[in-house]
Amino acid sequence: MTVAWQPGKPFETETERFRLRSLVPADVSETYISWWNDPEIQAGLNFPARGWDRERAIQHVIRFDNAKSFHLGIFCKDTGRMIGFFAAFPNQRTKVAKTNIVIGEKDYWGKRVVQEVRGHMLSFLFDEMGMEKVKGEIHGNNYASIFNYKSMGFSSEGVLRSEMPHFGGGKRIDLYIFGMLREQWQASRRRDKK
Amino acid sequence: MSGDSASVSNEAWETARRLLASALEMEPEEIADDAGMDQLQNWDSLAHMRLMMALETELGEPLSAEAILSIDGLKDIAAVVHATAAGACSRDLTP
Repeated sequence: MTVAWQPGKPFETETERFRLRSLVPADVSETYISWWNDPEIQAGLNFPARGWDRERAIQHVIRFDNAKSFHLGIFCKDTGRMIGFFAAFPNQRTKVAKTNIVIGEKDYWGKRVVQEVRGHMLSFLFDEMGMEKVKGEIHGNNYASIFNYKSMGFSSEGVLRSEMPHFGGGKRIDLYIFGMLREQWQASRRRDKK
Repeated sequence: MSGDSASVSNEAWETARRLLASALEMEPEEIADDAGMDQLQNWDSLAHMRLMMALETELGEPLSAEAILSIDGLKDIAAVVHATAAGACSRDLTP
């Protein structure tokens, strides 16, 4: 089921395997909180384990307004299990959207969830929200994320060298920037249809 | 970084093929010279992470951003291995 997007209203859509919908406080389960407190997951975002409790996680969920910011849970259609989330920050003035995605359930790593979800949301951001560009930033040598962007045809737009401190106090890390332009996306869709 | 694959040493090709096969849990003979991440089903995000970490271990140094971004296929891995080995040789020759 896909619920047409109305600014400020909860949004819901689906891919072949997953249902994506705006998270609400009732979705803040122990599993969701555990992703924020998992050192391995947070290291990919250049953060230490956050030490969040339920209240802090709810504060995070409710700050997304479904207009300028989205925080969509990724739910398996067959089991209803939430396995991660997708966030998007579309800027209507610049027509550029920044996105990120976290697959919290590690048994879904390497299962091409990112390609399926991000690919679907690119359609939403370009077609429904009128974005001209979608971009993502990768903190440090997060090889899995770099693979995901490259495999989807995003262009590497640059590397900001030693852009930020390493969360653990190690050597400063680079920031990789990947982008997809509307015409790039349209061309890739034409290729997929052939 | 991809460079001219004809100028890459046989040793670099062999090393690259071994590392990629291990990361993808395949046999080296199954990987063609022109194999790329968009052709090999086993080449997913986890396999890519294994590959890059194995490459760093093999080379004994962190990969540069240029090398990290260049790797789309076997030939790119071979080019990185070759360039690193060549760099090590030239350093060895420096008085």
